[in-house]
Amino acid sequence: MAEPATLDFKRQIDRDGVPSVAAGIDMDLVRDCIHCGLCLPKCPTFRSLHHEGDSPRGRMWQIKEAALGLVAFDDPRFQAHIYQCFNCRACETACPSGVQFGAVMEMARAMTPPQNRRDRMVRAILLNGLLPHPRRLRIAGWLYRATRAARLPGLLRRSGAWKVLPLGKFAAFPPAGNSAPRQRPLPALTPAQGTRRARVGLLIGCIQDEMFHGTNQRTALALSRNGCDVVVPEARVCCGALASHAGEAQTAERLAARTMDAFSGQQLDAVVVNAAGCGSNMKEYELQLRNDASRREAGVAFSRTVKDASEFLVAMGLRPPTRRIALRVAYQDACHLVHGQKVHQQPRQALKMIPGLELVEMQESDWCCGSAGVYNLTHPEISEDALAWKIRHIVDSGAQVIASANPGCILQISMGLQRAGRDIPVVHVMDLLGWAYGDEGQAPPIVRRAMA
Amino acid sequence: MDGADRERLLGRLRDVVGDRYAFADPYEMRLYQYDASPETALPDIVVIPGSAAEVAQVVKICADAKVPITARSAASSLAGGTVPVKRGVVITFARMDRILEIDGDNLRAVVEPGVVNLALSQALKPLGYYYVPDPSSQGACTIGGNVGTNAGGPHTLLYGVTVNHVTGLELALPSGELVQVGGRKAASASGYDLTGLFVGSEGTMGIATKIWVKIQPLPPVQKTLMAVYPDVETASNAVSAIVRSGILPAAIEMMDKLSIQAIEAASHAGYPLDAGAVLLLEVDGIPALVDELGERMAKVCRESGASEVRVAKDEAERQALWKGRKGAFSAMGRLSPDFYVMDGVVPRTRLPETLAKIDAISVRTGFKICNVFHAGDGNLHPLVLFDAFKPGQYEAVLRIGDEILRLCADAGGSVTGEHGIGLEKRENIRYIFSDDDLEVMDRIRRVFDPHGLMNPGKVFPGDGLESAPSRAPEHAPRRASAVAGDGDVWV
Ligand SMILES: Cc1cc2nc3c(=O)[nH]c(=O)nc-3n(C[C@H](O)[C@H](O)[C@H](O)COP(=O)(O)OP(=O)(O)OC[C@H]3O[C@@H](n4cnc5c(N)ncnc54)[C@H](O)[C@@H]3O)c2cc1C
Ligand code: SF4
Ligand code: SF4
Repeated sequence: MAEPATLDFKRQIDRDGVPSVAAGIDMDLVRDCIHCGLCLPKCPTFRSLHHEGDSPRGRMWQIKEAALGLVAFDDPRFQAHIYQCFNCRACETACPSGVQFGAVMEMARAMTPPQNRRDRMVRAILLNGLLPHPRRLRIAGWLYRATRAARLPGLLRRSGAWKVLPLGKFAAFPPAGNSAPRQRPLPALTPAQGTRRARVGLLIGCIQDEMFHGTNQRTALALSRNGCDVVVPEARVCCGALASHAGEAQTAERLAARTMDAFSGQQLDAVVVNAAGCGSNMKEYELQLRNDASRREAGVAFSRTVKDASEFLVAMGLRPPTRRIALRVAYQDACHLVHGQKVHQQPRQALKMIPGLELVEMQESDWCCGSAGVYNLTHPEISEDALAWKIRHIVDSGAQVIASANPGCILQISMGLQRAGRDIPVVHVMDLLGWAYGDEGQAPPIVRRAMA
Repeated sequence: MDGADRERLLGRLRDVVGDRYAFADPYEMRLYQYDASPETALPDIVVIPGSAAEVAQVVKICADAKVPITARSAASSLAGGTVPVKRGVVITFARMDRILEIDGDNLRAVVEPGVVNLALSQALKPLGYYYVPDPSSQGACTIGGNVGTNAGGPHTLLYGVTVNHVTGLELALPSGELVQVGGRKAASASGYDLTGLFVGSEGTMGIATKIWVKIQPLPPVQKTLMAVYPDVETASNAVSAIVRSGILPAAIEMMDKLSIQAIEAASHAGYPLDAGAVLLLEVDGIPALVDELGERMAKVCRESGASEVRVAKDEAERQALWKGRKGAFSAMGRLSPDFYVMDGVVPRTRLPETLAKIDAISVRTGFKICNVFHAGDGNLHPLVLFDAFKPGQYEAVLRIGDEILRLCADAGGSVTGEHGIGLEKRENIRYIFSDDDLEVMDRIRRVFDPHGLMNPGKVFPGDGLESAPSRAPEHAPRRASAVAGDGDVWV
């Protein structure tokens, strides 16, 4: 049997010259990885699967080999390891070498569409078929809320049908949130209250506004209470986060351009985002627009204005809310906030401003819950493994409510807790802040009691 | 190994660990060809056992089939220790990461080999204890790997390296036996210290499946000082001055200008970018003592030419400084696409001249060389920055590495302080051991591993598989004795 070529750069290069690198992969970024292994203990898929191929170092190595033509991008084993990654970027935080893992992973995924059937379906239906289309999205949102209003989740739970239906677990255990089928869109302008300090755009998002419209309202409220004019663009846009993280480069590029257009010409001091995945994507439009020379510069400039809601509010100096919420709350770091945007303290600081609220820490708050964009749909088994750890740590923390900052995490953890029979609601940091500023909408019973 | 043999062996291994945890797919083998060193070689089969009993069976099956066995833990080895140069079976410990027992009153813990070094200290912290040896890679490297290489770290200056903290081992031997050496509740001084023999043997005698370690109460206070020097020479003279002053701090680390730049780029720890060199010192103990020691230390630093001595004002600042130091190697990835780390030791008193010689090599060859190292015990880590995509550079860098290790040996030091011999330094080992030394070591190894199947191709010069170590070539300097006791390398 012929020996497979090894990646013995050193001598091979002396012999054969520098290998040519696949277009589409930035080799300088790949070579930032010095295979030291310091990221391994922070990787959730390595913890579940124990295989080097499912570790950050192993993935970087495979991408390097593929880029040099030593293995094929469409090798099913390459794809398996690459798509088994949560893209949670915990390795990026752990890496002292500054490897931009998220960027490299997106490039690698763009080189090879997945072969896993479930993965392909999710892409066709959700990423390309639904999210980019405002009208279809509105209909889907209406349907989702209508089924909730009709108490379908309870029926699914009682009958046990959720166990066999696709998406059954998410339908049966939905998060606290909107259930009125009709909802009034956010006003184009919510004026600042008190002294005006800034004029900001608010991304209401695709899924976010259909499932968590109330969270958007409360984000706007918190911003306006802090002296911001809040502008919501008329054009309904999806920022392309789920598509880009899944390697759907073309869809991602198109949506990035559309999002920039939606916010342009509005004289904004910042574009505020309350979904961590979206924020992290919008801060990296340079990467999404890498193949569009005419727009890349503008993308960099746009990204500089993007801020996570708690990041923005805390930097501005939060005006203290007055309503007491006497609750023990633990904050779950959304991966794309803590690892993607390095925003770690601000959501905690915002929560601590709420009178009566006691912030407790759970173990491994910065570990992925397994939601990971569309991952919980494409790879349910590994996703469940991560969720099980998360639920255990939440229960151990003694928290009464979990706060997070991303719709995906809220959906996933909420499902996990309810299914485990735990009455621990999962809400957004901006929900708690909004309630503390006087909003009443959709507070779960335990929060309502704590506000009394 | 031909295809049929491989299939047969794989089948038997799968009977032990299950299909999922033994595999031979050539694609997957590519992921077990490397560690943190630049060396690579492909294994035939990878096994991920879940218990000591499984490891013992795996080792026996391989030994019966005369197939080489290489232990691989976190593969953060900087010496190619886990690279299976003779192919065969790689055993990893990713599933054996349980802390089996913590016995605070008797100051000991029992762990599986795959327990991450830092995870052990984190588990001990709420109980008021820690595990002392703290390699810079402690966030990832494992106790099993530390036993393999006899790892050191910044804080092993005062408290001793891995061998001083391991009191017993359970070992899977090629004979198929699972034996225990040491590991009794009370320390005993009778009989041979077999534990000491195994620690640092780099997986060439047997595989540690269970490890008894000493734990230590957390020091009540730790104080970290950073002394800023105009150049490395003044800083290295200061190291001797500190030791001469009669106080041995828990740690003395040095970083030169280039390292500081890389560290700051990576972690914004607060190191001064305009310094020529920096010493990081730590003292620990009860508050009154620490204050006194800290002041005396600061005085010695100033008298030995420090332009400034800063004391970390709180735990956050202290952590930041150490995080910067411990991330230093990886931070080099920001200065250069590739680098090559060495691990030479010189007597402390020879630090200034050795560093000057290394600098001269850098000037002569045009390769940048940074220095970030355990200054207190003279353990140098020169890092040569290079670009493997430039033809000829890797070979040139290997020659530089050889020259530097030669320099260390000639100064009365050693070719490795803590990273191990592995694959990388098996020829350099001749600079410190004579043929007779090597033969004695080989005979000891063969008591446990008569057929040379355990991590073959490592530690000993030559191929290390069938033959006894090859004789030294003419040009190699001959040394009568091993390094211990030679000069003041060991503190
Ligand atoms: C950034 C960085 C910084 C580092 N800093 C330090 C430092 O400060 N001090 C230091 O000493 N080292 C340092 N190292 C080197 C390395 O981390 C150590 O050698 C460490 O002990 C290796 O542990 P590991 O778990 O990665 O073992 P591996 O690399 O997997 O294995 C190391 C050796 O031990 C053998 N081995 C592994 N498991 C077992 C077992 N169960 N039984 C028997 N043999 C076994 C292997 O065959 C191999 O020869 C550093 C490395 C990096 C990348
Ligand atoms: S990603 Fe970073 S931490 Fe992980 S192996 Fe590569 S360089 Fe090391
Ligand atoms: S992004 Fe997350 S899952 Fe993927 S390799 Fe990094 S740590 Fe592991």
